[in-house]
Amino acid sequence: MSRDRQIEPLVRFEDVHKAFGSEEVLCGIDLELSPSETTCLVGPSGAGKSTLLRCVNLLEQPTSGSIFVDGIEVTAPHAPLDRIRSRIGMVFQDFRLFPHLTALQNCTLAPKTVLRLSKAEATRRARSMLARVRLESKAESHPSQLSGGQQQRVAIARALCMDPMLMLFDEPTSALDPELIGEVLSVISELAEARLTMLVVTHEMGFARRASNRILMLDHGRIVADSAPERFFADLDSDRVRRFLGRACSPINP
Amino acid sequence: MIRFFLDILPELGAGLAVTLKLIVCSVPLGVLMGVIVAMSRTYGPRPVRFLAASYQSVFRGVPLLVQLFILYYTLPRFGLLLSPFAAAVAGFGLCSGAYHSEYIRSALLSIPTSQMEAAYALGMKKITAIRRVILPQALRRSLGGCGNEIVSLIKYSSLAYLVTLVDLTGAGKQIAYRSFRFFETFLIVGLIYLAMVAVTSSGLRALEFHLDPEHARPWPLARGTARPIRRSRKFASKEGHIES
Repeated sequence: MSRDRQIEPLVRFEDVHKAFGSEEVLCGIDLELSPSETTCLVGPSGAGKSTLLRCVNLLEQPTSGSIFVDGIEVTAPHAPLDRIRSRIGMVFQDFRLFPHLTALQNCTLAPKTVLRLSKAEATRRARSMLARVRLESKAESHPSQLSGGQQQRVAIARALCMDPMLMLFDEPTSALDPELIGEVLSVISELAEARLTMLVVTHEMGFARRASNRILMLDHGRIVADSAPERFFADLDSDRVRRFLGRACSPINP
Repeated sequence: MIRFFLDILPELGAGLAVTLKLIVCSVPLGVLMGVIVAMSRTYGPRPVRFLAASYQSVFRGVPLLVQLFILYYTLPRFGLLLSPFAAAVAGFGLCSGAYHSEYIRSALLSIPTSQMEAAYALGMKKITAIRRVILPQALRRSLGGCGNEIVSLIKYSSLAYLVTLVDLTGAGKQIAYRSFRFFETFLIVGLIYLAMVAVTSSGLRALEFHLDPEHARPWPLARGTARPIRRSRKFASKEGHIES
């Protein structure tokens, strides 16, 4: 791994700005994500974390600046968006499963329609991903029959079925009861151990500390801290980080 | 009365057959038109949206009987001669399509944009996302309204006798004028319509139950066969949040 530095970054942001109307949400983000790393994106509400995440697969169009994913400039006018998105898995805060389909069908729809896999191949893949999130027994259930934690795990399986090179998590546990958060976080931790490249927006500081290789802190649209977890949590010289941690480390996330 | 009923049965039966044929042909045409017009109005480029909106307001705004007369009596002047049956099916299908389109359009608009985003994030193209994610959900939601429209169509199919088609109503009218037994004849005709509507309604309800067992009432199928009660459904009500 001594040659790590020469590996082309999987995601590169170059001076990315994003404004909604007159409100500037991202103010010049420069960022590189290396393959096989789990990066947690933390920061106070309204800092622009979700917006930054949504820029990676162009669900949000930056106002200016360039974003490269796997060497392709996604912000270019005629970038092959569908193809790039099909290789980036995304998990949303509110799950966004397709309510008219079963868990299994949720997982096979995109592989069949986007990757053009055969039904048998898509089903095989979906079953193995559902097993990976420990929900093989719920394959035939509809989302409304599943708990929030189970729905979120199906959403993770759905994204994994596309065999993504990068996973984006947008506050994956924020809509869950404390008792359901654990089951989702442990699945995400396992993916981190499997060296999948991930960018995770989260308020779970305990998770960030345990599972990530790198923590980015965003405030008012700027990256104000960027360090390994051990350093981040020890970084008491940064007043900003200390104030944030003081508030974020509630009794459940020591 | 029973004797009279048995006497007129064959004639009413022939009329009923015509009515059923009318319904069977115009319901799918109406639903198809409804889907096409609703999709065009929701997702089409501006000229297509305009065209679809005009269709909808014309066919919803002109009395159906006038539409039928135009189709049957005036189109021949422009070289388009429709048989009474074809004119009736066209009239019913186009008119009911205009109503269906409104139900389907509002259902399409009611699907949260977050569903579209989830489909985009998986790499689906817009057309795939609409066809596989949005439309199936919208059709389920519009089932109530569209079912209503189908029931209406069964009843307004009786206008077909005014373009010389001997349907159930037409047959009844001929019998009544011949026998002067208006009360008995139209009582029976009315009951037959009622029966058709009842059968259709329970069919629609069964379909609703089949598509969404957890929300529809299972009646008139066996009671208490609903699947497990749904647990927490935490589809966040807000969508497209910019909160970070």
